[in-house]
Amino acid sequence: MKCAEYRNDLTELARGTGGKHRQPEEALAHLGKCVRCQCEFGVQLRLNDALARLAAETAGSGAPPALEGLLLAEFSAVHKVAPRNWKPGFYWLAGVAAACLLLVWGGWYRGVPSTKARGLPPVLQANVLMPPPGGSAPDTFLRPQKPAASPSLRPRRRAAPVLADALPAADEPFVAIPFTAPMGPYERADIVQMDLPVSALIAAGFPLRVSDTGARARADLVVGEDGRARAVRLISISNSGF
Amino acid sequence: MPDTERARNRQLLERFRAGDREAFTTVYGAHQAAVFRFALHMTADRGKAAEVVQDVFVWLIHHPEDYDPERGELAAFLTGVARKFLQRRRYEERRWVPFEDAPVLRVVADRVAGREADTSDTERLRAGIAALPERYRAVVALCDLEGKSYEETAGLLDCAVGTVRSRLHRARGLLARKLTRGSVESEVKTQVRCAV
Repeated sequence: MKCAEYRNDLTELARGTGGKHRQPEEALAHLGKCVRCQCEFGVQLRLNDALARLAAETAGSGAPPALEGLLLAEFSAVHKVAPRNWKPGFYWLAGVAAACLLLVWGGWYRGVPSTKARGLPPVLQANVLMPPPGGSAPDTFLRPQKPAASPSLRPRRRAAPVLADALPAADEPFVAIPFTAPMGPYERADIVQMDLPVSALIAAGFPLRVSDTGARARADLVVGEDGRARAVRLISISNSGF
Repeated sequence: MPDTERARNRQLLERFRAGDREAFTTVYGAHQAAVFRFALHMTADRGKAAEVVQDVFVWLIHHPEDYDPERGELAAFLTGVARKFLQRRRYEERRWVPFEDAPVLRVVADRVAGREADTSDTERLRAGIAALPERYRAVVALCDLEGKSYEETAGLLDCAVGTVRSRLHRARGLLARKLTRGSVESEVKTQVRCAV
């Protein structure tokens, strides 16, 4: 048998791990006869000794002690940072939620007084043109001043077709009805839209100048808690058809 | 590994993941020396080996969930991570040649300093291991220097047991050649000196 076939086993023999293909006795028997393989085996044993010395030199070695402290600091930093990771997200979520709430509340708030005036009195009183002390009808009825009304007092109404004389627009202020008791400061009021005979308005003291006395006027009325109308705002006048 | 020890290691890792400093200290104390020695055998430089240990454990701190206890032991896992860091380091260092390692400069520096080549087997072996290809060096470091079995080494290097055997055989052949060549050269030098 050739020496090359035993070469692989020489390494295993020198390491004491045994051959892969054949029994160690066979390789040992070859070693007894072959000088070249004996030299090779001797070199492997010498290599074993050198490797063992090298391993012994490094056996007790380890990383520098200062490294443990650095790594512990890193470990602590990572596990302290971890809870912070959710905080920016939480703040973002809270911000978005607050913005949504504001939007929803704002929309709701704007939509509330569309048909009903809640707690009208303070605002309403500022927006109603009070009649002069003499009790006569206001002459601003057909020449309304530019109102300083808040949006809450502007019911969203579709403008009715104006068939007769020009009338104030629906966003004009209310005019107090003469000879009625003023509303209390926090009296609840409703705004009711209704069609009134023009003649009734004239009888109430409003100086309407219309050619058709049978005409009807569409108006918003502020009705107090006692059911009495306190102020009126004309929207349109329709001809009677006569 | 017995089941009780495995369960204990799993608990230790759970605590490690939860941020328990004591668990980290235990894990570090149990595995840092093996990682350091492997890196030292691979780099032949204590400074670089310490840097590799730092890289490995910083990586473990940031990615504790990447280790699955069902797939193997933590020691093997950390050795694999160290091997990856060593490979990365080697790729990065390949572009640079330090002044002291440049061949011409080294010879000149040795002559200027009057240094002679160290003729001891251990030094020659250290130099020989450092000069081995990485795949051979890893096998020598794990099998011959760390005393791991073929099976363990195969698991660490993610290759077959037969591959470990053949790599070790070739690596030892190369080291033996360097060892004998060095000793022959030293014998010749000694004879020349005696003759002079």
